[in-house]
Amino acid sequence: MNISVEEMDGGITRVVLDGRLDIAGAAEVDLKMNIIAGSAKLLLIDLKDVAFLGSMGLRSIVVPAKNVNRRGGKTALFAPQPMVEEVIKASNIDQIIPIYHDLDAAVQALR
Amino acid sequence: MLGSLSMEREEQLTLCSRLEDLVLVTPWVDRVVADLGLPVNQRFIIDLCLEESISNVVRHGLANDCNHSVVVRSILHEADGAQELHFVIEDDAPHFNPLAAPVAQIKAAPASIEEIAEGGRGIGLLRKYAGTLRYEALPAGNRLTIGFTLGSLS
Repeated sequence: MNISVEEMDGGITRVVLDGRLDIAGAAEVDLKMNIIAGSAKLLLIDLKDVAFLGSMGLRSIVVPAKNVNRRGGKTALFAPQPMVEEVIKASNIDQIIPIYHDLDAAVQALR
Repeated sequence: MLGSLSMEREEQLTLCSRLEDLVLVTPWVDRVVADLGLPVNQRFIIDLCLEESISNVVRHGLANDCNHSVVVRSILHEADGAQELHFVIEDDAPHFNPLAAPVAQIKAAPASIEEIAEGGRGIGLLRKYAGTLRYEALPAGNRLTIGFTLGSLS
C-alpha cells in the first residue's frame, strides 16, 4: 500500500492511496494518515487506485476524517472504484464524508 | 441417455492465528480461482468475506495467538455446467456464531461524523455480501462455510 501527499491550492491536502486497503494495507497507512489528519484542515482522500477496501480500511478513512472534523475541517473522498464505493455506501459513510468523481467538484465542496 | 456430470475440487490453506498471516489468503485464492474467470466484483466479494471472517476469528476468537491455527478449505463443485465455490473456515476458538451475533447498527442517515462508528462493520459486511453462510459449532471450535454461486454476485 502506497501513500503520497500533495498540497493543493486552497489549503487542500490530497492524500493519494494506491493498493489494497485490507488489514495489511490499513496497518501500513494508518499512522501516516493520522499524522496528516492532525494538521490538515481540508482533506481529500484519493481512492482511485485503491483496488480493495474492507472494514479495517473503512476505519482508516473514518478515523482521520473525524480528527479533521474535530478541528473544524472537512474531508471528501475522490474517485473510488465501483466495489470500493459500494462498500463505503453500504456503511453510509458517504452520507457524511461525500464521494466525488469530479476533481473540481471535490475541490469546490471542500473550500 | 447421458448421466449428470459432477466434479469437486478441494484445496486447503492453514494459517497461524495472527493478523500478519492474512496476507497469505489473497494469493491462495488467486490460485484457487485462477482458471474460473471470475468477474472483478465477485473476486472482490470473496476477498472481503474471507478477510472479515478470518480476521474476526484471529482477533476476537484466538486473540492473535499463533499457537492456534485457522484452516481454510476451498471446495469447488461443478454439476451440469453450474459452479459453486465454498470456503470452509475452521478454528479452535470458543464458540461464536457470526450469523447470530449482534452487529453494529449502521445509521441510515447519520447526523454527524461523530455518529459514524470507527469499527465493528466486519460481520455486517460478511452477512451482506456472502452468497450463503452456514455456521456449525464443533466440539472444540467453529466451522463457518461461505458459499458463492459463480457468475452471480450473491
